[in-house]
Amino acid sequence: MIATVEAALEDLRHAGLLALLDVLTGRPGERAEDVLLDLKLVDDHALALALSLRSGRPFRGLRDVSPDHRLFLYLPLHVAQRERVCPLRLDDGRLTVASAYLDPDLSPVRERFPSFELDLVVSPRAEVLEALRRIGV
Amino acid sequence: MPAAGSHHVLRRALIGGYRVADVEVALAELRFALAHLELELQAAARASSASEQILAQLRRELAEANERAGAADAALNDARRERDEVAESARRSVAAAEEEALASRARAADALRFRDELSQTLSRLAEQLRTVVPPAAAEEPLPPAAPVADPVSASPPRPAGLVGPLVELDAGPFHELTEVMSFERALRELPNVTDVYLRTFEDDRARVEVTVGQPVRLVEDIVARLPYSTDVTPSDDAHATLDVQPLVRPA
Repeated sequence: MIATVEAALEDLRHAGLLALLDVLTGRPGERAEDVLLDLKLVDDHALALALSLRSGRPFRGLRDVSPDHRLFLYLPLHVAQRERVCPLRLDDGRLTVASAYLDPDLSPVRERFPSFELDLVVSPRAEVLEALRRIGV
Repeated sequence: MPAAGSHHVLRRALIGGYRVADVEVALAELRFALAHLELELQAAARASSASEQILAQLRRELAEANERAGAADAALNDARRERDEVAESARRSVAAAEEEALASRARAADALRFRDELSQTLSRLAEQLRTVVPPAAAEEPLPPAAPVADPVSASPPRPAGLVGPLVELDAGPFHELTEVMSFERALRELPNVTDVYLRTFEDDRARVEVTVGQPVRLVEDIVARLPYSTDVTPSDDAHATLDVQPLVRPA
């Protein structure tokens, strides 16, 4: 997974969207993607698209998407906010989750609902957080 | 009594004057001192001559430096004059541009006023026409209320073939990040496009939502203006599937 993220960041660097990749690697306990986004060194849309291309997971834009609040019975809101994910749809035991990163920790969902299959799609971090803010609106 | 400048002692002779030997010794000493002074004088004269040559050289160099300083002053004055002329010219250009802008604004205001007057005139004409038509239409066998009965006529109908403000494109295949972003950028650079949003990307295909300011023709105004060779499969008015290949631009 880390190799995939690094490959996506390398894509961004080749595309001229990221200049300080070498400086930001190797900080323990932090995602390189978070650091890049917090320092505004990379656009979250471009990062999500690069992660999608490298991982093969679908990219999904969440602008104007209002999540179904009932889905947060399966994926608690505090987990969603912590892991930068947003549940989008539940079809036949398959929960589609938008995630800003490739490896969110969704173990609480897997432990409570072991029969669920989780489908991850990649979305820009800002749009994930914005969608979470729209719950109940 | 010793002679001046000599430490030799002159002794008296027995008969008048000094002893000859002492006098000659004193004279020899004086001659030696004189010769020494002459040598020093020659050396001093040579040093003085060299100093005069150096002084003359320095005076020449000073004169040349003064000439160069004068030339530099002249060049500086020329440059300042040129700068002042350019600044003055720029000020005149700006003033002319401002006057032109004011005149353009005045013309635009006139045009807007004229348009408003035309609009009001047209409204009055339409009102007069409506007041005149019913009696004439009353003579017609057809019911006069038929054209007025259509409530949709309040909003102008969209001409056939135009779509917008939201157009959805399903484009691909894209294999690289730069390809997708270049396609988005190409869409953003189109005239009349106000927003481009990548809704999904999956299986090398991107679904892009394009918002346009005014209704457009999907193929002529959007697809044909992209720097891609494109196969278009329109699915309905505001949706189309594009198979794109970037055009190879000449170097």
